Amino acid sequence: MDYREGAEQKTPLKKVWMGMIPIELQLAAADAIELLASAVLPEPFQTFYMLAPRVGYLPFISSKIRERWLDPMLALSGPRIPNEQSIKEADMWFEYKNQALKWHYPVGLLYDLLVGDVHRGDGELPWSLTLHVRKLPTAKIIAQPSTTLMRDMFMAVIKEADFIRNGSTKRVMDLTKSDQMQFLDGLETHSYEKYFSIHSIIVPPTPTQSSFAADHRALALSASPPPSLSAGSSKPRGTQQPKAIPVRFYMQTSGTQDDGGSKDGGSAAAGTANAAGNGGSGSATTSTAATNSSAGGGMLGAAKQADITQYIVSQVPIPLYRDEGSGSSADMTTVADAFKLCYEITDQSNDAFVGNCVCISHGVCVPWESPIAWLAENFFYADCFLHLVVISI
Amino acid sequence: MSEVVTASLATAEAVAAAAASTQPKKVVVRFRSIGNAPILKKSVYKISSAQRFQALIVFLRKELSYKATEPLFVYVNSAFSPAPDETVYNLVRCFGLENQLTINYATTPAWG
Repeated sequence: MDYREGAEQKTPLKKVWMGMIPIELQLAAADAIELLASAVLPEPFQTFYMLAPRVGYLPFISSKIRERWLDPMLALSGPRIPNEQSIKEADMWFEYKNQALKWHYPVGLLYDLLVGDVHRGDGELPWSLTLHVRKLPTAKIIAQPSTTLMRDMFMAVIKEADFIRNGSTKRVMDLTKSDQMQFLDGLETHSYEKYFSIHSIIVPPTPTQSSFAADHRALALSASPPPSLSAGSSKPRGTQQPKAIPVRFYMQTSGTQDDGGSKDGGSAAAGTANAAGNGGSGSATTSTAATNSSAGGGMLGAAKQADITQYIVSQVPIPLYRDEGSGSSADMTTVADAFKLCYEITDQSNDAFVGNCVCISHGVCVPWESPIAWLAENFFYADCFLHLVVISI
Repeated sequence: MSEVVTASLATAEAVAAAAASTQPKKVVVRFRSIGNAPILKKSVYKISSAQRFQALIVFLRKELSYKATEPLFVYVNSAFSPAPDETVYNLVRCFGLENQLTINYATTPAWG
């Protein structure tokens, strides 16, 4: 990474984009036995380490893992089944403490949701995950985690965000084929330049951006509250102002939510949404029964250990200002306001959660009084959503 | 979210309870076919807002008697395909009109 002085180098936007998580991978023991001719993993292949971009997605790192770890391992040890020379990326999935990771969530979001003590700056590093290459648990996660499907699903989320922002998906639909490819390549290869040259077409800079520019430095990834905007900074009402900001809250609760995973169990084949159509081969994946055995283990630690089903996900379009007619900085929607909108807290005086909970994004505690507009310019994930994790302290 | 979720957050217990109670239990879903996709006999349904989008796809496939291997593309507001694990309630709040969600479906990709 480049640490030269330079205005652009220091923006929170770039820091967020460059955020990485060191990952430590073990191959699931049962899968290794099925996969390899030898009983034990050959010497240099027991553990695999890599850096994963926070804004990236698991299917995009699968190919690297396969090329640099699994394929050489297989070549050295020899496959158990003679004609299996390579592992399909669509069979690869990741597990953390008995939970299958939803591969269509950004990596950084998964980390913030599932790893404890992130808000104390003391999250597990490296992040220790188990890699599986067999028995994809299609009742819990979407089938066929391939780069192709990930790209398709990513474009769908971008359209969803565009719809919230502008009331239509026109900006995304108007992208040329080559622009779209560059955008996706930028995401897949974690190229800041490639990604943001197209991002600026989909999300043009708003008038608010310039007024926040001065605060960038002070706010950069610190937990300090944003300096209250001076009265003089009232900004021109530009035409580029988005209608609303795409925000998704993940609120942790102690109870286990009745997740769609169990309720819709058995619908695995249809679970890929449009995937069955896109997949070409569309072949139904292997049996899912085996994964149920791990469910019990997951429940044991439920009180302490964060579980993906403990989160209530809520999403509503968040306006930039509390009062639509207003344009004054004092009326800017804050994170606390957005939280109330999402969870329908109509009692305006009910602000106790501000003291009892923290809001995490990109591994950083976001002050409740931060303007959503500022976050929307700097703290979005690659899918253009603000993903905000709320946990009790 | 049909049952009240007990939250560990000191105030979020109230939040979760309030959220569960204010949620409309049922939302109206309107299915529209695109291209040569078959039309449903009945196109408007009331479904539980706690359902995932996935359940809606499963339901639609059943109504159309479509097998899992037959291609079906499902969209919201003629615009995009949500992830299967998004809740219908969130979709209605973001993209619905008066508690009504429009779902378009096709046998070939319609909107990218």
